[in-house]
Amino acid sequence: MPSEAVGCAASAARRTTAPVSFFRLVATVAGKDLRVELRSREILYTMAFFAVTVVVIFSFAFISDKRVIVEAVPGIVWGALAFAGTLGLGRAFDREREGDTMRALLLSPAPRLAIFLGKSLAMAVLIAVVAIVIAPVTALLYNLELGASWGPLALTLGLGVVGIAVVGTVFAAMLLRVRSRDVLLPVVLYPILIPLFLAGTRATGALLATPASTDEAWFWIQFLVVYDALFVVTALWTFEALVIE
Amino acid sequence: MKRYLVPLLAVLVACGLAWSIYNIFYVAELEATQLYWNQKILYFHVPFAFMLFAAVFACGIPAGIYLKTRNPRFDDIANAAAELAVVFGAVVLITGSVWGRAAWGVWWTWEMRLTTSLLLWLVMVGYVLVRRFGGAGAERLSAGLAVFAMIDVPLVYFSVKFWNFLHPKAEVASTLVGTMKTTFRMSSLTMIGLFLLLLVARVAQARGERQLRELRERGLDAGILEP
Amino acid sequence: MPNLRPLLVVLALVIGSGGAAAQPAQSTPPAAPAEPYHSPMREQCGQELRKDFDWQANITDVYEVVAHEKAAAKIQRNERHVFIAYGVIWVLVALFVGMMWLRQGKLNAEIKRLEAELRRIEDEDRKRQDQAKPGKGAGDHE
Repeated sequence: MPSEAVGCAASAARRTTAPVSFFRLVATVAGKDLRVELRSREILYTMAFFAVTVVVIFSFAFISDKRVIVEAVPGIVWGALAFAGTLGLGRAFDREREGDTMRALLLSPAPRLAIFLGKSLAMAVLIAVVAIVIAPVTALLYNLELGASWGPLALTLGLGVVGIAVVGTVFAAMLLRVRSRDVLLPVVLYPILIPLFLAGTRATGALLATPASTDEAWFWIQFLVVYDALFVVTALWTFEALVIE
Repeated sequence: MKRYLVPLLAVLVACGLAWSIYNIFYVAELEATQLYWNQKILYFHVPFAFMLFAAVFACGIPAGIYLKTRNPRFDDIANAAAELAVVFGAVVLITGSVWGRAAWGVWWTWEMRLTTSLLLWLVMVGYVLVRRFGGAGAERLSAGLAVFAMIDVPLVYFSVKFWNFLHPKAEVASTLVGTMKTTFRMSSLTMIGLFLLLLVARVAQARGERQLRELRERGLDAGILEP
Repeated sequence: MPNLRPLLVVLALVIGSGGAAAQPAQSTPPAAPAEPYHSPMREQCGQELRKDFDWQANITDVYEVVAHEKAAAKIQRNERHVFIAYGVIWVLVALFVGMMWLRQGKLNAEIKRLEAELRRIEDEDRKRQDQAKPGKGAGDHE
């Protein structure tokens, strides 16, 4: 595994005499992470299962009159995403830490921004898979009728997943060598993510309501776009200074 | 000149406090529509809220500069401002809660300002926790957190504003008239003075701690000090 | 804020007794029955009241106290909240200042310790230099 990281990036640099395109590097790093993950699927299975468990537990918590309160569904979904995402993020850099390959990664000719973007891309894919798993489960459990609003719903969830992945990766990288990182990651991550959850739950709620108020949903989707853009820029700006080998 | 900054500020703030309290209780008129006495809380609660926001920015901007230049003086300022933000934030939340209990009958409500303050406070508490338990290199981590928090402030504000949960609006500061306005200005100035006083004192202390730590490390490195 | 309750009670007693003694007739009974009672004499009493200034003064005196008591009760119910709020502010600020004071104490202790170490090292240095200097006093016999 250590050789793979060095080998991948090094071979990517060796393969062409011209400088490798930035996006190629991003794709390489993301691809490496995802390929490694796909072999054991450890993080994926545990995240997905945890998210489903959370959805079930919350549905027990919000029962009234032997029915689950439909208004609670957006909160349940986004809460499950948040917790599962934190679980995955805590382990985002685990392999680098155990194999001590972080230094190798950072020493490679790839710019750190590419590494960061690749990592967050891989993380986003993982969390998106979790979202894809719990969306139909939730719809089934609560007899939701999605109709035409599944498009905006997917967009909302996608934007939220990107936001969680980007901000979470920065903080996970920040806390790489810190002793109490398991506890500190949620502590520092959640307050920053609250506007994202706010927007996400409102958008989801608006889309799931009958009749669906798409105006409100589009407002919150735009908000999510702004949020993601702002924090991607901030993350790119600060990642260099923050990561510790 | 710098040696006398803290005592000078302290004297000014003390005078300001005495004058403010006198004004609040004996000069400012009673707000007669529904709040009566409760309104007196706001003479301190609102300035403290301003100071909380000021402290968050006083933490975030030096933190950003520290990340870029690695000049530890900015880290001192960020550290001090974060602790102040925690203290002021606690004050704002508790007094706001008490005021809300008296005015609206509930201890807490998801109103725009309260929620924003709560989130800011949480992030600043996170900053202090990371500093304390982060081990080596915690300064950079907390600085990164502070930068993110500062970018987050307008987002939180707008998201909660358009979230509009139930509640009665509390349009307070803009509707003050007459003696209430002057009293309010008086207490605002005093609170700004208090903020500056505590900030200057705490920054000096943080700088002293850091310099001592560095000196000690240099002594250990040079072998003349025993660990 | 001085405690006005005893003062208000005394005032109420004095004015109430004075007003009760000087008053010729009640305009409307204070107690409220199941359905509010509308006196047929309202119009007439109103006209008389407007002409008779002494009577107006007496009535004002009596009901002034009632109004004051109602306002005082409302204010006092809020008072506690104000004091709690102010108390919280001072407690928290005082705690912060106390924490800063404790940290300063630790800093001072550390400074003293470093100074003592420094002095110890300087003394050792000086002793070693005295030993190293040949034929200078007590060094040979050590």
